[in-house]
Amino acid sequence: MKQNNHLEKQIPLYLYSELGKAEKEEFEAHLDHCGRCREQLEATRTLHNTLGEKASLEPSKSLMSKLRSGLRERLRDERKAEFNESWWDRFIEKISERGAGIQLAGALAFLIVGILIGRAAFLPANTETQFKGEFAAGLQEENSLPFMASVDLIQYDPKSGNITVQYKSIKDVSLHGNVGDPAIRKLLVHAIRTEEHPGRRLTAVRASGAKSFSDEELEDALIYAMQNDEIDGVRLKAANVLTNLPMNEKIKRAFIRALLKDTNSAIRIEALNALSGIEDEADVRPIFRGASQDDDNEFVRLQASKALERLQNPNIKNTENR
Amino acid sequence: MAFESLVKNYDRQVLQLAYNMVNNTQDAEDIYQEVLVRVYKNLHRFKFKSEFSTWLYRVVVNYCINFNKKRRRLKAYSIDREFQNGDENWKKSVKSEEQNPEESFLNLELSREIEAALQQLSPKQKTVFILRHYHGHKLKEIAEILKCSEGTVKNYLFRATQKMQRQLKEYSKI
Repeated sequence: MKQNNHLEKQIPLYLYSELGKAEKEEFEAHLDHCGRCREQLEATRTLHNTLGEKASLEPSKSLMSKLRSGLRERLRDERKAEFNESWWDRFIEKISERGAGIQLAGALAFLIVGILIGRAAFLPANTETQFKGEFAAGLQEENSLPFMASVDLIQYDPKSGNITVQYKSIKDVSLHGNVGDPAIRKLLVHAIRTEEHPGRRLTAVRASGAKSFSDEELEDALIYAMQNDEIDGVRLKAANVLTNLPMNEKIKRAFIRALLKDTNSAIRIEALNALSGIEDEADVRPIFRGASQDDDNEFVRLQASKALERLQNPNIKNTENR
Repeated sequence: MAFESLVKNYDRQVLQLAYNMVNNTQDAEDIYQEVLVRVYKNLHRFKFKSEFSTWLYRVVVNYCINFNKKRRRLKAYSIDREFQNGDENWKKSVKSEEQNPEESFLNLELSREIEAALQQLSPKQKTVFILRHYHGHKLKEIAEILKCSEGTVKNYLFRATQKMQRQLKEYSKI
């Protein structure tokens, strides 16, 4: 079996003519008496044929001409910028090209010089009062206006002296509640779909499962997380939460997809367990059969076989803990 | 200029690779310019330890991988990218002859499925698969581009092929 796995890996290399002469001969000799590898070879050949049917796009001559012209202009601007680069910018660039030791020494030197200048420049008396006053004034301003993100428009009427400023603002808001609150659910949907930090996405998914809810948007977000999140833990948690929701066609399809396509075997097991509980077996029987034969993971294949057995013989109960 | 002459030998492949990696013609055109300007600015860092093309493709690949990561975060609601066939600056090349509307539709459908299958691969698997299958790079060169061993590239290719086969099973009945 180990040797067979080893030669299965040779199949794409064989088709791409990446095998050396000796390896190629060994592989071809192996094909003579290995039906499985011959089957796999044909499947891979078919895949290549299928991929060959894909319509690809190629850039036209006029596009290349346009892009090269654009690039020439951009490079001209870059060269102008280099010519006008100040001595300071060149100095910083040179330092940044050096090793970490030189950069650290440079940073320390600047820090020491900065401290010395600061000691010489700052007045010892009245400093505290002066800064306190400014800080207090700043705090007063902060309390009256939310934090300003960007100014979009400034209009000035010289006749009347009126000024109109349009700006975007950011204000920290803290909302408390539970998954029963529509506002909380909306925020959870947003976090699950768009939050960059995986820990927060996981927390949002986990929070969604705190108690039962009926919200299509949140359900869709959990399905999205199970199918698309790049972090296995988030996908697994989403699968776990979806398992506790009433099964509908959308969730069933999502679990089928997870069982067939997810790279993580724990998620495929979760999907398998979720699908094992449904009554309408027509959709899932071929899926279980496929999983019991083709899944990479031995445990998944075993569980799929058991699930198939239970479908065929309803008297066999699922006694395994979830 | 010398740099433009050098780039002319490779820029079509750069654009094509960017398109295959991000599956969007507009993004590919933007990446083309960004990458080549980046290469120009960092030319002094090229130490001639590898071929220029290897270094160039490495810059393209890394840029596209980061681009895709950022795009996944920003466009969370758009899971499937639209397969573009209306941009006259990009010629459609198909192996089959003049297609009737039904064949054209099926071809588009297949292309979408292939792209969806490619999206299921990890960034490295997808990169290796695209470089090997669509760009014809040898595995040794791909290993140099990705700065990893040839064995690792072979593993990526094997896993990618397996996943693509599973994804496209029902379409692979040609």
